[in-house]
Amino acid sequence: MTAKLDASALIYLGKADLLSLADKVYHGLAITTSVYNEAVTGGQSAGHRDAARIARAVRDGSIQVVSLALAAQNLLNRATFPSALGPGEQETIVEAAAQQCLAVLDDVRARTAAVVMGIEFCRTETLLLEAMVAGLISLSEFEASLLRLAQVRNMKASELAELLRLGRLISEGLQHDRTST
Amino acid sequence: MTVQALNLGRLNIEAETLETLNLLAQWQSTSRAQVIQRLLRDGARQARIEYAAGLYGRGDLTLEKAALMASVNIYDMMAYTHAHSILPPGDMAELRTDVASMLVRRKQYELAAQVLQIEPTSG
Repeated sequence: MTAKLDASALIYLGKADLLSLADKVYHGLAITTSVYNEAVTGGQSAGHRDAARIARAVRDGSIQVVSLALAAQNLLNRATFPSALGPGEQETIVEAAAQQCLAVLDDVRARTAAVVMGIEFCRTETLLLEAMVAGLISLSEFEASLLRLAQVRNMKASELAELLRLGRLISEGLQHDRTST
Repeated sequence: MTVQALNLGRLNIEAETLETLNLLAQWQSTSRAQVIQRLLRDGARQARIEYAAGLYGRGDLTLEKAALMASVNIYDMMAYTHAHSILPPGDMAELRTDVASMLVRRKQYELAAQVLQIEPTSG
């Protein structure tokens, strides 16, 4: 399942050096041209180093840039998104809907729109939990990755504490499953 | 940069501000009009960023839309909200639901139920 990333998720994953882990979790990452223009073209012209890092990931093929297909374009024209969303988020949601794949969305308003459109989505922090569930990282690696992400995203302490608690709960549950089978 | 004339008529300015403007013009070896022009430009830009970031902090806009509204790139808006600890409102129940949805997608049904049933942390 390829995941479509919006600009915030893409940049935060890049800043925390977690793009290759995200690629392994979803077997492919894609962004729309609007997200590319915002995160790469706009970022590079303003001299942001993170934009250059994402540009490299696009060049080496770990992130695919997709233009909206006709079905997604039609969906975008028909959908009435709230004005709180940017063009990159709108494109990411309709592209995920048209391709029936997952969207990685870090903004609550974007996630609400995704619920209305009936698409599957995750956040960057739940992506890390998913990597642990998929057996790609250990609990300690999850915790280290989450701390990196929390630092770049300026995550609330209460959210970080809850995610660390959920990580331990899930890790124990997975271990219990493995020992009982 | 395109420049347009703005006639402010008889704009009243406090004596202290006027003194500061005169001092700045003197220190920077420039005219008072140029000092006012620069301060207005920087202040208007800053006010626009502050306003859009405030809407993001209230959860009224996404970060991308806030950057668009402030006419800055998303990296600059990220840096601004980070520096000023501006965070949109979080919802623990929504977070647990999103974690449970991921677990259901991964066919971890019992774990998903556990996540939804645990007592919320205080704070």
